[in-house]
Amino acid sequence: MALVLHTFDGNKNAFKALIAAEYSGVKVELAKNFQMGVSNKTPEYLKMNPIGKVPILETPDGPVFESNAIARYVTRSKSDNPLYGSSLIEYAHIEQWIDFSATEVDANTGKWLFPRLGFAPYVAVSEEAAIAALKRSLGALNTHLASNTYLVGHSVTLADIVMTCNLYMGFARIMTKNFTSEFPHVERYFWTMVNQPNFKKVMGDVKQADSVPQVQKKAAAPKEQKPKEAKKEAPKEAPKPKAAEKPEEEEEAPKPKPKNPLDLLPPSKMILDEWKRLYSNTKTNFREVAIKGFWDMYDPEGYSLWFCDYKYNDENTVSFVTMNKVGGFLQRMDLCRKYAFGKMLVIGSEPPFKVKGLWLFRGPEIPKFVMDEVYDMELYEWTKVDISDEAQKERVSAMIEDLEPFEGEALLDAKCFK
Amino acid sequence: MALVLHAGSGNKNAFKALIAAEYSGVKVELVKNFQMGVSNKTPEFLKMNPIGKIPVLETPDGPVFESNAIARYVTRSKADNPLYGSSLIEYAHIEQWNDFSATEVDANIGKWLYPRLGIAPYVAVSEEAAIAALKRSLGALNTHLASNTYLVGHSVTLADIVMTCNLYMGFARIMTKSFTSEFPHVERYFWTMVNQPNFKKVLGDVKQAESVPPVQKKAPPPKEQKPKEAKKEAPKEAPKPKAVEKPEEEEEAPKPKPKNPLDLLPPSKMILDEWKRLYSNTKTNFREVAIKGFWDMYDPEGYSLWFCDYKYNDENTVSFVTMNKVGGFLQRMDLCRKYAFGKMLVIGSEPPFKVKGLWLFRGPEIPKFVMDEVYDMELYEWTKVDISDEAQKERVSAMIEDLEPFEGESLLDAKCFK
Repeated sequence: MALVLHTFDGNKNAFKALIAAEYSGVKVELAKNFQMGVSNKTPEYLKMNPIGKVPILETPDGPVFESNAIARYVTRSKSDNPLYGSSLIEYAHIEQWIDFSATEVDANTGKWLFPRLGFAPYVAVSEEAAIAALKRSLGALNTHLASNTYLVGHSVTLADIVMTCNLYMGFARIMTKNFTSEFPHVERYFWTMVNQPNFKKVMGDVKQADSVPQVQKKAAAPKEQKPKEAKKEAPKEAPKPKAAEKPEEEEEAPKPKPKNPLDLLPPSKMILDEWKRLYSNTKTNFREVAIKGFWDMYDPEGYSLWFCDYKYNDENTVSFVTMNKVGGFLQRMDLCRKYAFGKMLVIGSEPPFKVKGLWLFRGPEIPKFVMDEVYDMELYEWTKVDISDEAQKERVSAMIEDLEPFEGEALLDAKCFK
Repeated sequence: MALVLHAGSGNKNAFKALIAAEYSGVKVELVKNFQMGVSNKTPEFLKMNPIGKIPVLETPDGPVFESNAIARYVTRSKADNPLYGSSLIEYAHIEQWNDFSATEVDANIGKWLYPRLGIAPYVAVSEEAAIAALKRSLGALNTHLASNTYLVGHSVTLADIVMTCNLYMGFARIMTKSFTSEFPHVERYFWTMVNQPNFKKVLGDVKQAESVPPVQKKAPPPKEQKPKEAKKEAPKEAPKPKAVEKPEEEEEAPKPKPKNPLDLLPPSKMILDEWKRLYSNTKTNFREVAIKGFWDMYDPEGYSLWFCDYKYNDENTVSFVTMNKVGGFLQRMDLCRKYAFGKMLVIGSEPPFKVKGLWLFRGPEIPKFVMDEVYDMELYEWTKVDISDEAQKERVSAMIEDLEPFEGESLLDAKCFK
């Protein structure tokens, strides 16, 4: 009787067992008609794994869950398997790298990726910590691979199978070339591994992520089960894994996720992050340093400037309600943080307060995805800035600076989106 | 030559190898004079583990890192060790629970605990997700232990050693009785395990956490290395592990971390969370429902009410600077969220603005740790509310309600701490 693996298509955690089976000459079949969210909720399934996650391996002696444990079972079902090394110390090193891969690489990749896919709450400060931790672990891995072709010994072991499957999720979904180029030995290792015949048979062709996924709009909190299941999910564009008995099938990988149109624009001489740093770090002589720097940096071909005026100022009778409204607008604009800088002013010393803003967007127009997804946009009148008009140019400078009085009135609040 | 373990005292990840050694009759020594932050930064140590974390096991054949891999090495260094089960399927189940323990239990306890110790950024929404995930995994574990004494088979295996050491960090530091009582089989299992002679020899006496650690004040971000190392750290109050050659030594566990003095007060009939929910959920008839409810709930013996007035109102000439100052004060008050409710008002339609507040604190006085740690406290004049004075009582109600005008003036902002 063959071993039966219960999983959805393209699960990188299931790949571990399937690739180990290829190397070991063990037969592992995929369960027929597995449907995520349905098949793993049946009483029969929950009896095999009380937490309801995938994958699960069904064996003649009973079920096994946890993907690394499943891969170990498959490997050890062949006696004296070279995938487990040839000595006690090699075995220990294989286990060392399997655990490192799970707790340092996979966990930190997930902490970065899952909030961006909406499976976990997105928090900018937590993402920064996850990226820093991932860089540290990839740095350590890079150090090790600088003097080793494989993780342990001189041929592929289970450690390499597990590590490559965990790196796969990062490379395919979120780690761009720009990110991984800091770890050249990891890159060399990953691409060598995924092109081994036994990997390619299961994974198909692998493409690196072209961009970091956008943060989803703030939605209702996902069901409790969803964040956990996400750990076992593989990217949607991953090819369908082929069972061992269909070696001749060669499926082409689907196209990677479409890029943000703003990434396809011709490069601009203006680097938005440099402006944001100048804006944030200038404490004195703001006009001479930051404002002048802005106009030196500004690229009217790669970016555009816009004024916006709130259409319903007569509603703004309570000061803190008005300010909360503007604060919410800026939060919802987070999806284009890479492409925009904004200033919003709440104006007037008595109600009704006026709300006016200045925005810098990548590209010649307001980006379509922003107009489509941020409902606040239609509450404002948008006017493109004519920078050849000195009065308009001065108004831009005044808004960046929070100059008071603004058009003869006091400022109640000034919020920056950067 | 004995195996040498490099780890700080009281490291629960080091306990895994030490307990496995006890069961296996293998000798493992702790390295002399290990100093966290120093010994693990030397070039010799980094050569053993490029990521600089502990523990690391030194063996005649070379070093091993990752605590579960170290425990596996120690276990397998004895042939046919019953800690690894007696069949392939038992081996697979042991590995299944080792991985479950690492990725579901340990990781989620860490996601809850480390932000509260200041080792990772604290974000309330992320903590909620971590607690939900931990409850789900402990629920699954509880289901399994409802019909099993040990995780696998009918005696202690490596899976039990790893699971118990991971649960130890939770039970000792953050999982209170009210939290764990939802998982009675896990409780029974944990206390049975830590009282086994071979566990007790290494762990000493174990006490359950009496309260959840309060969130630390917002400090500058920790050095990058610190968050990762914390994963390997054990709680400070854990007893020093004893090497195997000193079995006769029986060190008493040091006293658990002192409680917050407010937890030692006689119980109050007022439940602060109930008031906070009533305040948040009342949308209409606020005075009749929420304000009346407050006075019905209020316990003048268990709590006290305070007015505060900013001492330097003449400085408050810029509205949004004033509001940011109050916002910062509330953020720094997060350390007493369990014990307080507050309202802060920014008053006046033109500068200079006045800042006044109302606070409810557990206990008859303003808590000492708040006065000591929140530097904003001394910028305000604090007056205890005399609730027998109807005018003062009415002022409390008006401040809770954000009633306008307030003492004849309009409100610029009203912020709630809850």
